[in-house]
Amino acid sequence: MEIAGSRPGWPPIVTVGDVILITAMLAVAGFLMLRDNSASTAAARVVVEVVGVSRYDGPIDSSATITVNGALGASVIRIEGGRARIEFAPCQGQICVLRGWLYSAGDMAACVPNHVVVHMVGRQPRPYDGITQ
Amino acid sequence: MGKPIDTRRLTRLAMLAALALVLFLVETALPRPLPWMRLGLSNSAVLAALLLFGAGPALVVACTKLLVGGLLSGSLGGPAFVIGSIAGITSLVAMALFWRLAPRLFSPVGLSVLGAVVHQCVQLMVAATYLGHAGLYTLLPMFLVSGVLTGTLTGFAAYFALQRLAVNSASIA
Repeated sequence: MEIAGSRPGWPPIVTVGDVILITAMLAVAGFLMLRDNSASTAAARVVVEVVGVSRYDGPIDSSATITVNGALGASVIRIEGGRARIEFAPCQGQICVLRGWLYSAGDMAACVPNHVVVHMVGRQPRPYDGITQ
Repeated sequence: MGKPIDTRRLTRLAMLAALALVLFLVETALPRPLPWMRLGLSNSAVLAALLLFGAGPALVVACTKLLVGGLLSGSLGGPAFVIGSIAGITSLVAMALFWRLAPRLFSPVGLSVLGAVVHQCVQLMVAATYLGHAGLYTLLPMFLVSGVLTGTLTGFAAYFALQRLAVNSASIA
């Protein structure tokens, strides 16, 4: 068995060119992500839906506490200072509450048991629904 | 047909093609975060073919993988096949060009990263053309990052595979 790197005359496993290429690609990706986040995805409105039916659609820069009734009971959504979150949900998992504050267009918190979806909408509609993380 | 066919060379090439095909099919069965995100392990075999035998034979390995893989996975002729084929061949061309023009610039790992990044970009371009949906380009950063990660992994795989194949160092250095 050969030991990796032991063969004479073999090219190094990582060259300076490799490192430059990798760094450059990650830098481009980072730059594109930053630009995407700052400019085009600023949220303008908050939409609350229950089973796909819009129950609330308001500007993000208002302050409001909204209560909507879902399949299990009342969910409470808090909007303040350009952000929104689900504050209370009558479900077991509390995943939507733990999702925390939503800031950018496309951000979404969903309470599947209660059928409540809160999502942020930009000034211009995005070409896709959302990206899972 | 000037030279007689070298059996050893033919066997190795056939093994690499078979390896590429198996890796391709195994990967098709694995779950993926997004339909077009995959590890691209079969690119290790294509890269090995490129470094051992040159661009022409590597193209044969890549085409065998794409055609037979498409046939066996049932995607032959479908959008995924078209997108994957165009991206796969473009990425091979990019790797071959850099390896030919600047042989000392990248190690197999760098070549693999280059191939993966080109693969991702071309894939996105073809998919966006297919769907007439420029919005796909917002996925570009994610695609670049995943290209760098998978390219690095498959590059290491190719590097170690090449060493195990115990080739004459002159053919790759």
